[in-house]
Amino acid sequence: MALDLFPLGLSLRIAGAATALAFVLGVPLAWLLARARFRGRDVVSVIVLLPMVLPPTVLGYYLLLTVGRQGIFGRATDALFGASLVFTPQGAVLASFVAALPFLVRAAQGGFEQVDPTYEEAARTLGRGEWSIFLTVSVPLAWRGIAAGIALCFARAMGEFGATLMVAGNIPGRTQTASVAIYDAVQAGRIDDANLLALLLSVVTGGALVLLARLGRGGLW
Amino acid sequence: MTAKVDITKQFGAFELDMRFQVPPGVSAIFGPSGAGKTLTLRCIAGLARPDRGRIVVGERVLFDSAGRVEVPARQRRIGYVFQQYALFPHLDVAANVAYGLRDRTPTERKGRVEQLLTLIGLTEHAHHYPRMLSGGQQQRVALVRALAPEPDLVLLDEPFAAVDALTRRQLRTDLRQLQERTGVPMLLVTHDLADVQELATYVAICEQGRAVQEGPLQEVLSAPSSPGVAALLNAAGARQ
Repeated sequence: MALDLFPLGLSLRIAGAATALAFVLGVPLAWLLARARFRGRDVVSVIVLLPMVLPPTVLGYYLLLTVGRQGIFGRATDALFGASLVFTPQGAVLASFVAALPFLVRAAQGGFEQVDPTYEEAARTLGRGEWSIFLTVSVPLAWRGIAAGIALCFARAMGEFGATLMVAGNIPGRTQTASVAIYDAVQAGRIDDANLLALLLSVVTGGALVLLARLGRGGLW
Repeated sequence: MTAKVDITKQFGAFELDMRFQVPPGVSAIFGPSGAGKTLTLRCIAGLARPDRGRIVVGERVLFDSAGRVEVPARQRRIGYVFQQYALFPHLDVAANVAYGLRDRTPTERKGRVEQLLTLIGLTEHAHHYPRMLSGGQQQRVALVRALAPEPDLVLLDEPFAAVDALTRRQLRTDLRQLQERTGVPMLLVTHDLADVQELATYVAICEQGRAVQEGPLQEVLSAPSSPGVAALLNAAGARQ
């Protein structure tokens, strides 16, 4: 039987979507944590970083409680779409996003902290607003940290297993990602499938890392 | 009078209590390190917030604690030349100078950048990055970047501290010429009395957070108001 490549494609799409989400939300969040002084900053920081240290099963369980039909978020999606995220590819994106976000935020925050605040002050005296300064000064100068964060985030999302399994389940052809399919193959004694899929996952993820590392080294400037 | 400053600010154990005026031309705040000169500039530019007081530049009230006025830095129309210049390392010289000209049309922007780079003789370096320039060239780029949006006042924080003595002399001449050509009032802070004597027509002597004497340069040099000021000027090697 030929190897089913669907899980690998699904993993790539889920990790891509999760990383894109993490980029859009995580970069401004990292900037806030690096620069802004606001009440509850430590709490936000801990909540963002918590998925890094929690067992993925615990993280997945929390997500289930939130997005399941009885959860706060679940009730909203149920009322709006008559469905929940549980056992859907979108649920897998959510699980990967939450699990991988801290890697991006941490690296990007480090990048922003390396930027001398004098550059941002100079931009302010030159008449620019905060958002414009963020886009034209802070992000380009913190780019190395941000690129490293994107790479780590994508790698973590590609390898996501526990939380994804809890939230999205293991439905072949629908929510079965590469890492889940490998587990499935090993359990079913399909060692050749497991070997091949494991090798492909390693090569693809490693290749993505190399690509992103190049982007980070070259930088945006 | 171009500007009137009257501010107080507690900064840890340090108390800033500065009251002085800035006439047109080049003025200087002179005083030893740690006297609160940079903090004063930061307050004027809106990068630091005084506890109390009033800052007026031209006709505009930029800060007034009694009237609850606090114009944000980006709307103050005050140029700032930082001690280490703070040129954006990821932008070339032309883009650095153009940074404060976002509300102009591309044609206007291009013309203004060319005009300013011609003024400092750096047109050939328009597409070089700051790290490829000498210290003196970087300083001149920082100065025209601050001048580009036609500010009401330009503040310079120890503008010659980061260059060697020979370059310093040249840069003073360039600064005076730029001021004369643009007519923009400039206020520089320095602990080097030579900067004051070569450039400024008006000076405020600053010591431990206070402006202890101010006036036209020759007046202050010839008639120090207190033994403290006299000692400070003598120690700095004042000549009349």
